[in-house]
Amino acid sequence: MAEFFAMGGFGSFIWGSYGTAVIMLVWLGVSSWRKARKVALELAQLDTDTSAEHRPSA
Amino acid sequence: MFDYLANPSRFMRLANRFLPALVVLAVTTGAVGLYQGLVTSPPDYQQGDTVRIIYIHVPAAWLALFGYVGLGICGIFYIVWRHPLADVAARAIAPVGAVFALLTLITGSLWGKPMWGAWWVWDARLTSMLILFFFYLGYMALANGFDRPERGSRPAALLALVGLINVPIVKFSVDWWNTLHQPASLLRSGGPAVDPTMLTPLVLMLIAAHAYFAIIVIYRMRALLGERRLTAMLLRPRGHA
Repeated sequence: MAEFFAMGGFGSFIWGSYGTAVIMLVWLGVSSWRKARKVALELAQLDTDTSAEHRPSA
Repeated sequence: MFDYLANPSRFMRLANRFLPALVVLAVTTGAVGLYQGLVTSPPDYQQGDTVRIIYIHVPAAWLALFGYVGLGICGIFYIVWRHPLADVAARAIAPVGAVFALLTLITGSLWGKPMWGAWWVWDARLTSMLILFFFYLGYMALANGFDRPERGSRPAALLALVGLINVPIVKFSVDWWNTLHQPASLLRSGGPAVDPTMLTPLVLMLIAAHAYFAIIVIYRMRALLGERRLTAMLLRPRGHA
Protein backbone atom coordinates (compact mmCIF):
# COMPACT_ATOMS: atom_id res chain seq x y z
CA MET A 1 0.00 0.00 0.00
CA ALA A 2 2.77 2.43 0.96
CA GLU A 3 4.47 1.44 -2.26
CA PHE A 4 1.32 2.34 -4.20
CA PHE A 5 1.18 5.81 -2.66
CA ALA A 6 4.91 6.36 -3.16
CA MET A 7 4.44 5.89 -6.95
CA GLY A 8 8.09 5.06 -7.47
CA GLY A 9 9.18 8.24 -5.71
CA PHE A 10 6.94 10.48 -7.83
CA GLY A 11 4.01 10.35 -5.41
CA SER A 12 3.79 14.08 -4.73
CA PHE A 13 3.67 14.92 -8.46
CA ILE A 14 1.13 12.22 -9.31
CA TRP A 15 -1.14 12.70 -6.30
CA GLY A 16 -0.74 16.44 -6.73
CA SER A 17 -2.08 16.13 -10.28
CA TYR A 18 -4.98 13.88 -9.37
CA GLY A 19 -5.78 15.93 -6.27
CA THR A 20 -5.81 19.21 -8.20
CA ALA A 21 -8.02 17.64 -10.86
CA VAL A 22 -10.52 16.31 -8.31
CA ILE A 23 -10.70 19.62 -6.41
CA MET A 24 -11.09 21.77 -9.55
CA LEU A 25 -13.58 19.49 -11.30
CA VAL A 26 -15.73 18.80 -8.24
CA TRP A 27 -15.83 22.53 -7.42
CA LEU A 28 -16.80 23.31 -11.02
CA GLY A 29 -19.52 20.65 -11.07
CA VAL A 30 -21.00 21.48 -7.67
CA SER A 31 -21.02 25.25 -8.22
CA SER A 32 -22.65 24.86 -11.67
CA TRP A 33 -25.27 22.48 -10.31
CA ARG A 34 -26.05 24.70 -7.30
CA LYS A 35 -26.41 27.78 -9.50
CA ALA A 36 -28.86 25.97 -11.78
CA ARG A 37 -30.86 24.80 -8.77
CA LYS A 38 -30.93 28.29 -7.19
CA VAL A 39 -32.26 29.86 -10.41
CA ALA A 40 -34.85 27.09 -10.79
CA LEU A 41 -36.09 27.67 -7.23
CA GLU A 42 -36.32 31.44 -7.78
CA LEU A 43 -38.26 30.87 -11.00
CA ALA A 44 -40.65 28.48 -9.27
CA GLN A 45 -41.13 31.03 -6.47
CA LEU A 46 -41.86 33.82 -8.94
CA ASP A 47 -44.29 31.59 -10.83
CA THR A 48 -46.34 30.92 -7.72
CA ASP A 49 -46.20 34.62 -6.74
CA THR A 50 -47.52 35.82 -10.08
CA SER A 51 -50.20 33.16 -10.32
CA ALA A 52 -51.35 34.18 -6.82
CA GLU A 53 -51.56 37.81 -7.98
CA HIS A 54 -53.79 36.94 -10.90
CA ARG A 55 -56.17 34.89 -8.79
CA PRO A 56 -59.47 36.74 -8.57
CA SER A 57 -59.98 38.10 -5.06
CA ALA A 58 -62.94 36.84 -3.11
CA MET B 1 -32.15 21.29 -37.92
CA PHE B 2 -30.34 24.35 -36.57
CA ASP B 3 -33.55 26.34 -36.59
CA TYR B 4 -35.32 23.55 -34.78
CA LEU B 5 -32.66 23.39 -32.07
CA ALA B 6 -32.24 27.15 -31.79
CA ASN B 7 -35.36 27.29 -29.65
CA PRO B 8 -33.91 27.34 -26.11
CA SER B 9 -36.64 25.36 -24.37
CA ARG B 10 -36.62 22.72 -27.10
CA PHE B 11 -32.85 22.49 -26.90
CA MET B 12 -32.89 22.16 -23.12
CA ARG B 13 -35.58 19.47 -23.25
CA LEU B 14 -33.35 17.48 -25.58
CA ALA B 15 -30.26 18.12 -23.43
CA ASN B 16 -32.11 17.09 -20.28
CA ARG B 17 -33.08 13.83 -21.92
CA PHE B 18 -29.40 13.03 -22.49
CA LEU B 19 -28.36 14.09 -18.98
CA PRO B 20 -28.94 10.77 -17.10
CA ALA B 21 -27.07 8.80 -19.78
CA LEU B 22 -24.19 11.30 -19.64
CA VAL B 23 -23.97 10.98 -15.85
CA VAL B 24 -23.89 7.16 -16.04
CA LEU B 25 -21.27 7.33 -18.80
CA ALA B 26 -19.06 9.79 -16.89
CA VAL B 27 -19.24 7.83 -13.63
CA THR B 28 -18.57 4.38 -15.12
CA THR B 29 -15.80 5.34 -17.54
CA GLY B 30 -14.29 7.67 -14.95
CA ALA B 31 -14.25 4.98 -12.23
CA VAL B 32 -12.78 2.25 -14.44
CA GLY B 33 -10.38 4.72 -16.08
CA LEU B 34 -9.10 5.96 -12.72
CA TYR B 35 -8.67 2.41 -11.42
CA GLN B 36 -6.80 1.28 -14.51
CA GLY B 37 -4.79 4.47 -14.73
CA LEU B 38 -3.66 4.42 -11.11
CA VAL B 39 -3.52 0.69 -10.34
CA THR B 40 -3.43 -1.80 -13.21
CA SER B 41 -1.62 0.14 -15.97
CA PRO B 42 2.16 -0.31 -15.89
CA PRO B 43 4.72 2.43 -15.26
CA ASP B 44 6.40 3.70 -18.43
CA TYR B 45 9.89 2.39 -19.15
CA GLN B 46 11.23 5.94 -19.42
CA GLN B 47 8.83 8.06 -17.38
CA GLY B 48 8.18 5.58 -14.57
CA ASP B 49 4.95 6.23 -12.68
CA THR B 50 4.72 9.87 -13.79
CA VAL B 51 3.12 8.55 -16.99
CA ARG B 52 -0.09 8.25 -14.92
CA ILE B 53 -0.40 12.03 -15.06
CA ILE B 54 -1.31 11.77 -18.75
CA TYR B 55 -4.64 10.16 -17.82
CA ILE B 56 -5.60 13.58 -16.45
CA HIS B 57 -3.43 15.84 -18.61
CA VAL B 58 -4.42 14.59 -22.08
CA PRO B 59 -8.22 14.53 -21.51
CA ALA B 60 -8.02 18.00 -19.92
CA ALA B 61 -6.05 19.32 -22.89
CA TRP B 62 -8.45 17.80 -25.43
CA LEU B 63 -11.46 19.32 -23.71
CA ALA B 64 -9.75 22.69 -23.41
CA LEU B 65 -9.26 22.61 -27.19
CA PHE B 66 -12.66 21.14 -28.13
CA GLY B 67 -14.30 23.58 -25.74
CA TYR B 68 -12.60 26.43 -27.54
CA VAL B 69 -13.71 25.11 -30.94
CA GLY B 70 -17.23 25.08 -29.48
CA LEU B 71 -16.78 28.64 -28.25
CA GLY B 72 -15.62 29.74 -31.72
CA ILE B 73 -18.52 27.98 -33.50
CA CYS B 74 -20.95 29.66 -31.09
CA GLY B 75 -19.23 32.94 -31.89
CA ILE B 76 -19.88 32.44 -35.62
CA PHE B 77 -23.53 31.54 -35.00
CA TYR B 78 -23.98 34.55 -32.78
CA ILE B 79 -22.30 37.06 -35.07
CA VAL B 80 -23.86 35.81 -38.33
CA TRP B 81 -27.32 34.67 -37.26
CA ARG B 82 -27.68 36.38 -33.86
CA HIS B 83 -28.85 33.14 -32.27
CA PRO B 84 -29.33 33.91 -28.56
CA LEU B 85 -28.78 30.23 -27.77
CA ALA B 86 -25.28 30.44 -29.27
CA ASP B 87 -24.49 33.24 -26.83
CA VAL B 88 -25.84 31.22 -23.91
CA ALA B 89 -23.88 28.12 -24.96
CA ALA B 90 -20.66 30.11 -25.33
CA ARG B 91 -21.10 31.72 -21.91
CA ALA B 92 -21.67 28.25 -20.45
CA ILE B 93 -18.65 26.72 -22.19
CA ALA B 94 -16.07 29.43 -21.42
CA PRO B 95 -15.53 28.89 -17.67
CA VAL B 96 -15.54 25.10 -18.11
CA GLY B 97 -12.96 25.30 -20.88
CA ALA B 98 -10.89 27.70 -18.79
CA VAL B 99 -10.83 25.23 -15.89
CA PHE B 100 -9.74 22.41 -18.22
CA ALA B 101 -7.04 24.61 -19.75
CA LEU B 102 -5.73 25.56 -16.31
CA LEU B 103 -5.80 21.90 -15.27
CA THR B 104 -3.78 21.04 -18.40
CA LEU B 105 -1.16 23.64 -17.47
CA ILE B 106 -0.96 22.53 -13.81
CA THR B 107 -0.74 18.79 -14.52
CA GLY B 108 1.74 19.44 -17.32
CA SER B 109 3.85 21.42 -14.91
CA LEU B 110 3.68 18.63 -12.31
CA TRP B 111 4.88 16.20 -14.97
CA GLY B 112 7.50 18.55 -16.38
CA LYS B 113 9.30 19.11 -13.08
CA PRO B 114 10.35 15.47 -12.51
CA MET B 115 10.75 14.63 -16.23
CA TRP B 116 12.23 17.76 -17.80
CA GLY B 117 13.60 19.25 -14.62
CA ALA B 118 11.52 22.41 -15.05
CA TRP B 119 8.01 23.45 -14.01
CA TRP B 120 7.73 25.57 -17.11
CA VAL B 121 9.54 26.19 -20.40
CA TRP B 122 8.59 28.71 -23.10
CA ASP B 123 8.03 25.89 -25.56
CA ALA B 124 5.61 26.44 -28.48
CA ARG B 125 3.07 23.92 -27.15
CA LEU B 126 3.11 25.24 -23.60
CA THR B 127 3.02 28.88 -24.67
CA SER B 128 0.13 28.38 -27.13
CA MET B 129 -1.79 26.49 -24.41
CA LEU B 130 -1.24 29.39 -22.02
CA ILE B 131 -2.54 31.76 -24.71
CA LEU B 132 -5.62 29.52 -25.11
CA PHE B 133 -6.24 29.89 -21.37
CA PHE B 134 -5.94 33.68 -21.69
CA PHE B 135 -8.43 33.70 -24.59
CA TYR B 136 -10.93 31.95 -22.32
CA LEU B 137 -10.31 34.54 -19.60
CA GLY B 138 -10.60 37.35 -22.13
CA TYR B 139 -13.89 35.96 -23.40
CA MET B 140 -15.28 35.80 -19.87
CA ALA B 141 -14.09 39.32 -19.05
CA LEU B 142 -15.70 40.76 -22.19
CA ALA B 143 -18.91 38.75 -21.94
CA ASN B 144 -19.47 39.80 -18.32
CA GLY B 145 -17.82 43.21 -18.37
CA PHE B 146 -20.90 45.29 -19.11
CA ASP B 147 -23.74 46.46 -16.90
CA ARG B 148 -26.19 44.86 -19.29
CA PRO B 149 -24.66 41.45 -20.03
CA GLU B 150 -26.11 41.22 -23.57
CA ARG B 151 -23.95 44.18 -24.61
CA GLY B 152 -20.87 42.04 -24.05
CA SER B 153 -22.09 39.19 -26.24
CA ARG B 154 -20.93 40.56 -29.59
CA PRO B 155 -17.42 41.72 -28.63
CA ALA B 156 -16.92 38.47 -26.71
CA ALA B 157 -18.05 36.43 -29.74
CA LEU B 158 -15.59 38.36 -31.91
CA LEU B 159 -12.78 37.63 -29.49
CA ALA B 160 -13.76 33.94 -29.48
CA LEU B 161 -13.46 33.97 -33.29
CA VAL B 162 -10.04 35.61 -33.23
CA GLY B 163 -8.86 33.00 -30.73
CA LEU B 164 -9.80 30.18 -33.11
CA ILE B 165 -6.54 30.95 -34.94
CA ASN B 166 -4.71 29.67 -31.88
CA VAL B 167 -6.41 26.24 -31.88
CA PRO B 168 -4.47 24.71 -34.82
CA ILE B 169 -1.35 26.37 -33.44
CA VAL B 170 -1.78 24.45 -30.18
CA LYS B 171 -2.53 21.20 -32.01
CA PHE B 172 0.29 21.37 -34.56
CA SER B 173 2.86 23.30 -32.48
CA VAL B 174 4.63 20.01 -31.77
CA ASP B 175 5.04 19.39 -35.52
CA TRP B 176 5.79 22.94 -36.65
CA TRP B 177 8.42 23.73 -34.06
CA ASN B 178 11.09 21.75 -32.38
CA THR B 179 9.37 21.54 -29.02
CA LEU B 180 10.34 19.95 -25.75
CA HIS B 181 6.76 18.71 -25.54
CA GLN B 182 6.40 15.30 -27.20
CA PRO B 183 4.43 15.04 -30.48
CA ALA B 184 0.92 13.59 -30.71
CA SER B 185 0.58 9.95 -29.65
CA LEU B 186 -3.12 9.42 -30.36
CA LEU B 187 -4.34 11.52 -33.30
CA ARG B 188 -1.41 10.87 -35.60
CA SER B 189 -1.01 9.23 -39.00
CA GLY B 190 -0.39 5.53 -38.46
CA GLY B 191 -2.75 5.28 -35.49
CA PRO B 192 -2.14 5.64 -31.76
CA ALA B 193 1.41 4.90 -30.62
CA VAL B 194 0.40 3.87 -27.09
CA ASP B 195 0.36 0.34 -25.69
CA PRO B 196 -3.18 -1.03 -25.06
CA THR B 197 -2.50 -1.25 -21.30
CA MET B 198 -2.15 2.52 -21.27
CA LEU B 199 -4.43 3.32 -24.20
CA THR B 200 -7.50 1.78 -22.53
CA PRO B 201 -7.45 3.95 -19.37
CA LEU B 202 -6.58 6.99 -21.48
CA VAL B 203 -9.56 6.45 -23.81
CA LEU B 204 -11.84 5.79 -20.82
CA MET B 205 -10.71 9.02 -19.16
CA LEU B 206 -11.21 10.87 -22.45
CA ILE B 207 -14.81 9.62 -22.62
CA ALA B 208 -15.40 10.52 -18.96
CA ALA B 209 -13.99 14.02 -19.49
CA HIS B 210 -16.21 14.63 -22.54
CA ALA B 211 -19.31 13.45 -20.69
CA TYR B 212 -18.48 15.53 -17.59
CA PHE B 213 -17.82 18.59 -19.74
CA ALA B 214 -21.21 18.16 -21.43
CA ILE B 215 -23.01 17.69 -18.09
CA ILE B 216 -21.55 20.89 -16.63
CA VAL B 217 -22.29 22.88 -19.78
CA ILE B 218 -25.92 21.70 -19.69
CA TYR B 219 -26.29 22.80 -16.04
CA ARG B 220 -24.66 26.15 -16.77
CA MET B 221 -26.92 26.70 -19.80
CA ARG B 222 -29.92 25.84 -17.65
CA ALA B 223 -28.84 28.46 -15.08
CA LEU B 224 -28.17 31.12 -17.73
CA LEU B 225 -31.48 30.57 -19.52
CA GLY B 226 -33.29 30.57 -16.18
CA GLU B 227 -31.61 33.85 -15.23
CA ARG B 228 -32.77 35.42 -18.50
CA ARG B 229 -36.31 34.28 -17.84
CA LEU B 230 -36.09 35.69 -14.31
CA THR B 231 -34.93 39.08 -15.58
CA ALA B 232 -37.68 39.10 -18.21
CA MET B 233 -40.33 38.23 -15.62
CA LEU B 234 -39.13 40.90 -13.19
CA LEU B 235 -39.07 43.57 -15.89
CA ARG B 236 -42.53 42.69 -17.18
CA PRO B 237 -45.19 45.24 -16.27
CA ARG B 238 -47.39 43.83 -13.56
CA GLY B 239 -50.71 44.94 -15.08
CA HIS B 240 -52.99 46.43 -12.46
CA ALA B 241 -51.43 44.74 -9.50
